[in-house]
Amino acid sequence: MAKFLLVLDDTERGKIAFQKIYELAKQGLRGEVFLLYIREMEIPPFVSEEKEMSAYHRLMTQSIEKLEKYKKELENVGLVVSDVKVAFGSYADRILMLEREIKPDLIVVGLKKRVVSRLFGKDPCEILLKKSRANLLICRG
Amino acid sequence: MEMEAFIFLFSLVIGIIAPLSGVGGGVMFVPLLTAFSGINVDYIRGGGVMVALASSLTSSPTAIKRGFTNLRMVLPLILISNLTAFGGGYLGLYISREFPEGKHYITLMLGLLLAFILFIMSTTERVEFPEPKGRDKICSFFQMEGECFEPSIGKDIRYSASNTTIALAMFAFVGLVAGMFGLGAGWANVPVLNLVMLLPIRVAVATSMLIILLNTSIAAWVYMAKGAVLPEITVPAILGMTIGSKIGAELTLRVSPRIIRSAVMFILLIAAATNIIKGVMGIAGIT
Repeated sequence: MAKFLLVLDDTERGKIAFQKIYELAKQGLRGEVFLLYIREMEIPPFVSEEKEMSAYHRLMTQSIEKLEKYKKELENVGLVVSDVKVAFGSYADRILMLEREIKPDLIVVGLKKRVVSRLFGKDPCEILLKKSRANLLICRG
Repeated sequence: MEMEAFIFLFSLVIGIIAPLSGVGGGVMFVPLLTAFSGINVDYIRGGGVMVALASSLTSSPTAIKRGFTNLRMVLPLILISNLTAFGGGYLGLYISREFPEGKHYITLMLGLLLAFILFIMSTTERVEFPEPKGRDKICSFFQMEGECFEPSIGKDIRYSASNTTIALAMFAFVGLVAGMFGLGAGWANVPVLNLVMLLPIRVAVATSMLIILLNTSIAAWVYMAKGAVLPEITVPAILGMTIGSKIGAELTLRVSPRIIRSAVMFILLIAAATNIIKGVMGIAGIT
């Protein structure tokens, strides 16, 4: 069975990626889906460990709730959700880390262009195109 | 009193957005205040050095306690950059005081430097956990390595410095520029530590803070000895920045950094353009 890594987050690009794979599943796409929910964070090193852990705990609870909703919807259209994971950090780096671990056949990500963000820095999809070894499905919003 | 209140509020805002955006407070303070206030650039640079010093002084102990950096890691780097930061402090004040249009040249160079910083920040990509190369002689001699718990992946990570010879040359230049303009040098330290020395990003940020602490403590002597540190600027700036950075650090646990980072860089772009225009107009004698 084909293994898909679907990348979700709390922005529009997560919704775009979900919508695409949902539509494809309705049209007959079948496979095993690994859900990765990324919360982009850049916590400075001077924040205490207790505060950081407590923030992760709070965000983990919120994210798992969202993931459960996504999981049910995907299973309703015939996909098998094999695992879910929440990651805190850089969008591209966390995808690449998980890619090395689970070796998916296809990574599904969303792309939402923002003018200011495009001016000052690379879109994570550009980094994935350069560094990922898996097949990539970049869904435009 | 109005100026003190303005500097306090200005520093408070910078203190809040600095940790959120990943752009250091030290690098925002001098160019923004130079661009958007009428205060002499020498006094702003003196205040900037003290602000960078105070910020790194309050944040470094926690970073060291958590194992994100250590003194062995920074020792060879500061041996070089301290010397150049000291020279940079003298050079900056010499240019602005010995030449008739010196302060305009400094403002112009500050604008150009800020544009260069923005270029570096927008083109370099940070890598959370780069693969280290083998240990070289300097790394082995100084034992430039460590271990810390990384909560975001829930396990201990080991780190060690790579490519230290190239990094030393880069730090010499960074020290000079930081001392000359009274800027914190996180904008340059972090990419060198992360992409050249291949240290994890949080280790790079923590190590950069420690380097800034040790470098600016040297540059601060130069500015103090030359009378460029005014309490009216420094005290409200340090107060605002310290309170602001506490609030900012809390917000990093709740807010996604990407949009804020872009917004801050847009503001810095305006500051760079303003400083360049102010510098050019000053040199040309148009006020």
